[in-house]
Amino acid sequence: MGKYILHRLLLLIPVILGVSLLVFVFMDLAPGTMLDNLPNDLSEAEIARLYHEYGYDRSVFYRYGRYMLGFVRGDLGYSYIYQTGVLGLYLQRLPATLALAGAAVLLAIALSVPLAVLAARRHGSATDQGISALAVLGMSMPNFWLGILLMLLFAHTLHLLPSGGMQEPASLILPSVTLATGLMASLTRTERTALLEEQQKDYVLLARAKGLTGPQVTVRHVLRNTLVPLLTVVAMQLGAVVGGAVVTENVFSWPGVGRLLVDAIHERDAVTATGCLIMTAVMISLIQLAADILCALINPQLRGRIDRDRAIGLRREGGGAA
Amino acid sequence: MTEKQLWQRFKRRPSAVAGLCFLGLLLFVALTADLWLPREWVIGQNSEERLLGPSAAHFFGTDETGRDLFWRVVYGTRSSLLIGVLATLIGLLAGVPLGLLAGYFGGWAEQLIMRVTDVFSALPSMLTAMAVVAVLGASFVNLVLAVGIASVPLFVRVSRAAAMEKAQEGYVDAARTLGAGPGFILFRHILPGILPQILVHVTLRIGSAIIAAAGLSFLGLGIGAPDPEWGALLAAGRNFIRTDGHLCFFPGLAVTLTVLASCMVSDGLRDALDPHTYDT
Repeated sequence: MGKYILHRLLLLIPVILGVSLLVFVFMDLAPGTMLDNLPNDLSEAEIARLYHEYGYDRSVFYRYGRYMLGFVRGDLGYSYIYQTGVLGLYLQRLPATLALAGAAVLLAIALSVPLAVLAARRHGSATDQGISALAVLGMSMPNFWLGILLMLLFAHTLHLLPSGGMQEPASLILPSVTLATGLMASLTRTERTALLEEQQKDYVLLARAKGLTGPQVTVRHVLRNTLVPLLTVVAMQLGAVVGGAVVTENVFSWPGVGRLLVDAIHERDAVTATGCLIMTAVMISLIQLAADILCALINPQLRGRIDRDRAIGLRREGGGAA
Repeated sequence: MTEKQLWQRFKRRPSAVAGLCFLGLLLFVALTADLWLPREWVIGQNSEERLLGPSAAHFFGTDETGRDLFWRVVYGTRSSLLIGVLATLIGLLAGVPLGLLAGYFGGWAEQLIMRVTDVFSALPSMLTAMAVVAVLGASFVNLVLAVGIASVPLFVRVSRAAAMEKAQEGYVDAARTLGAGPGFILFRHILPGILPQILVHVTLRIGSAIIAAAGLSFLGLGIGAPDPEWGALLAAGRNFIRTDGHLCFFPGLAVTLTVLASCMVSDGLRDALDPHTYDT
């Protein structure tokens, strides 16, 4: 197990180097530099010194190397717009995004598993068809629209919940429901298919022959065997969740990383945008790694498999709206 | 399975056929709106009919300058649908050949292609698209590029997995034994075999590309006035959300129905391909 974790961690390094190189070089093409929006009282000589220090008289790869040396020391550059270091800015916004995404993922799992069980236990029934239809609808609704509709209903019309911001705990409800819907829909579909496949297996028949009731078999045996694929799909959908969080945060004025990123792009704050993009990729990779390790702990058969596409046969139902 | 059998099975699902018809109608509107839809209906302002609710005269109501929302949404089909289709096409044309190469040859080609794909997929596709727009600026072409580039990894992965499966089959071995070159095998034997499977993802991806493009416009990173696009219409309507909900409701409904149609077509195709799926 230790060897597996080490192997996966080592595989992470080239991915992080690659994605940071990609993002840095690409963002470097944007109009403007990381030294835009300098304070007005700097002298010409000081500005020239800064440009030299940041490597704007040399190649982009020098600037990337310089950036990554800072990166490993926890220095993501200085935003002259926010007047503070980018890493501090990112870490200040991160808890809000983690709370939103975490609540959404938990909510999606908590609701999709019972729905999938209900649908799979009565395969082909009206309940099953209704749940499947709802899942397709949930996958089709853009979360900015769903968010606005929920806001209209629960905040502006019924005055039950706050319409935005992060002042009280209840503020989390509407954004996390909005963000959870798409994931919940695609998880319900995946889990339903997994349950239907699992129900066909011989051990289910054996368990029934032993005298266990249908629900007992489902909960004790079938459900347990579908949890690893479910977790894998959750990990694969994490990128879609984070992408959705960017939009959702902007609908509900939720002060997370997504809003920071969008604001930075609007303000042409290249250094903040670059930092947010790279850190988001790193965070997602780490959480996915944690999920894979968890899967390997649950099911030792997965430990040899590094290739995620092959390991789960690329579940078609997993492809929700990104 | 021949195309005819596939179509026979596809036809059996009313929802799939309905979705296909709806997408066909939208495509027709998108391609021909310029010919029959008077521009005055789309951008014509009328200060006496500002912020009206839905009525027989204005099906979706009017906006803050008295423009008819129904015709703006209809005209918006042009931008939204074309972005979705063209972006998916970019992902398809760039991703499928790479996936085929990786899946069929294996070895260092596969390693190289898949490691680069890993790097690309480490960043969520929405964020990749945002970065592209941040660098290139907001316009129709850049929006297509942004969403298109963001969908390449999906098509690489899907076509690689499918090609790996097909490369094991007897008829591919037979072709190889008969002396067929790799290019011939890939494009004459494997590609046609995996095309239906890829089509399942194409239809699904058109839907999510439309959502992605509308989301970017909603964030102010897409195309703006005066030509309407669904995401931009919705973003503009947000300013009046407390008083005039219809300005947000109808553009969002248009996105939802379109994506719903693409999901239903995709599901129909998937079931027609694989009789073992457990879909209702």
